[in-house]
Amino acid sequence: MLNKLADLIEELTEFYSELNAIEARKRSVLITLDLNKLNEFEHKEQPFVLRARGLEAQRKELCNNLGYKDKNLEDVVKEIIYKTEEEKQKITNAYSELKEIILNFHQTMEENNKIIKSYNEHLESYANKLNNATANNLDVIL
Amino acid sequence: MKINMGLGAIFGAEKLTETKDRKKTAKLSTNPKDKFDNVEFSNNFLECLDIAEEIKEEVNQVTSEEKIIRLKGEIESGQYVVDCAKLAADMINLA
Repeated sequence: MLNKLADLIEELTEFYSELNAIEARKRSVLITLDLNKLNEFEHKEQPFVLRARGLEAQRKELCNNLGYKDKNLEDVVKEIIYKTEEEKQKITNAYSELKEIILNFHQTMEENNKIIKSYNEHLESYANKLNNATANNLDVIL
Repeated sequence: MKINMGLGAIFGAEKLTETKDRKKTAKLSTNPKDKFDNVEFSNNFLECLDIAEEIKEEVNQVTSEEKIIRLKGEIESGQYVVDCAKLAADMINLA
């Protein structure tokens, strides 16, 4: 059972590492606002969303089977009773690596979201100006 | 409006005032496209020009607004992975 946990942690690490690389590449596309390339990223991301859900379902099932229902991975890795010190090291090291990757991914997402938020603010401001300009034009006409 | 000013100069100030009055009445009714369809060209040429200009303005506005909405949508599509980020954050107990 603990081998399955180790395997899942490795799979999650690989998954988020790959997704983080995609999101980091997407930043340059966001900065230049290349909509065609942005659409390409959207297509690339879709299968990741599905796979993330699949991996989460696996994680939940495994945690349930280990007797840690509704616990997050951090708690499971901390609380689980290991048979050997080697097993403990293997899983905690793998988890540390996963945590670092997820923190990097989180940072990348925050940076991308800041850019998206900034664009949206500009667009809303432009839309308001457009509406006001139209209202003013009508006033002039009338 | 540029068209009106040009034609106003040709037909004289009196004609232009008359056009403005007609336009004011037209503005109070339904949408410009309907008004345009209901105007007789031979009798109300200037009014037709006014309304045509008005339609152009509205079309430009709609196009710009649609572009903004589309652009916002396209940019926000980058939010697909937010679900993944949330799952990941929960997994490592990241507040």
